Amino acid sequence: MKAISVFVLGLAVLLSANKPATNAGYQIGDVVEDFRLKNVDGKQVALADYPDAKGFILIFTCNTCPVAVAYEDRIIALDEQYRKQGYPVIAINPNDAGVDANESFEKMQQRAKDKGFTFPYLLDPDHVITKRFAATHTPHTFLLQKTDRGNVLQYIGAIDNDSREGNPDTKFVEDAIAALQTGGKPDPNTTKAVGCTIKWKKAS
Amino acid sequence: MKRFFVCAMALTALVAWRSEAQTPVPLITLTELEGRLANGKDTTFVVNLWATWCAPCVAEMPYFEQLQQNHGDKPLRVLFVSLDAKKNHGNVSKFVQEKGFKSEVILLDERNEQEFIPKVSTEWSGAIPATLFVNTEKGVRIFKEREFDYRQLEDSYLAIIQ
Repeated sequence: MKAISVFVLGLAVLLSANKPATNAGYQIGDVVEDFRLKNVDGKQVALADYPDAKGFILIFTCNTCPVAVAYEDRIIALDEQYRKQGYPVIAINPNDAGVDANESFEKMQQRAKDKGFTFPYLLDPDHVITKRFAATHTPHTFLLQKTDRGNVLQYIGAIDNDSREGNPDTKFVEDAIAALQTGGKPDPNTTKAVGCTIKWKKAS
Repeated sequence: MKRFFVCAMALTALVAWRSEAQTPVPLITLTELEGRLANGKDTTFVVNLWATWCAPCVAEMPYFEQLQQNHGDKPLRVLFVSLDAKKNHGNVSKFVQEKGFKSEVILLDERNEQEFIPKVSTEWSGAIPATLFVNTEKGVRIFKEREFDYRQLEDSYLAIIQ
């Protein structure tokens, strides 16, 4: 019996070790399925609620990651500048409140109020949408462009080229939107930045 | 008595200055770091990528210290590579001093994330904590974007050397 349980344990370790760190998720050019998530104001938000939008700046961000917090003012500025141009910011918190209580819905409401978020800040229970996008860290940005086919993923990555010093000289998201506005494609369409690992729900 | 007092004051000031001027955490470029790893022969490097602001990183650092202690008789080298901004260099040195880490701590002297992140590993999204295991003689280079507890860390190390 003991041998069996050791074997099962070994198998479990083996399987968990073999689990890929990143799943594929949406790729550049993919049409993104709409979602409906609860906002800090208690209302449900979906991409379909924005008939006039030309696209979306979708950002996985959270309450506790210092890098994400350092980006808050820049995210608000993005929304203020680009909402009028048809690219509103939609923020999603990918973290599990069971792992860090400071990521709870109430704390999200508080954070949105304290900072005066001008954009929705959505809860993603069980990481369903986070996994669909294969977001890995906060902040992690996905730029969508509305087309006849649906909302197409056009850019994945960092907001700008300075996640650590807060003094960027290249603004990836702004450049990507500018490219879309002139009928082009973002270049680069994928960037990387240092950020905080997503706090995944612990398997019960 | 007064003289003694002045003397004691001076000594206190000196001690304070000395600890203030505690050896700063050295800077290292990625090229220099890779050079060290490449010249490591049979040494297994466990390169932990962390930052003072990263809570899960700070939480797992004692396990890396423990690994180095428990396997000190083997060619094992734990390197804590900080991704803190260079402007926070002083804070990193202070943090390391307070924690009293025995393993080597260095600050990555790279600014361009688009260059250094994929160079460390194409599997790396940039999220930390992350850890790189390198053994040049065995041709091992394993990257893990995840948190470790002691058991998982030791198992990963032992899998390389066995």
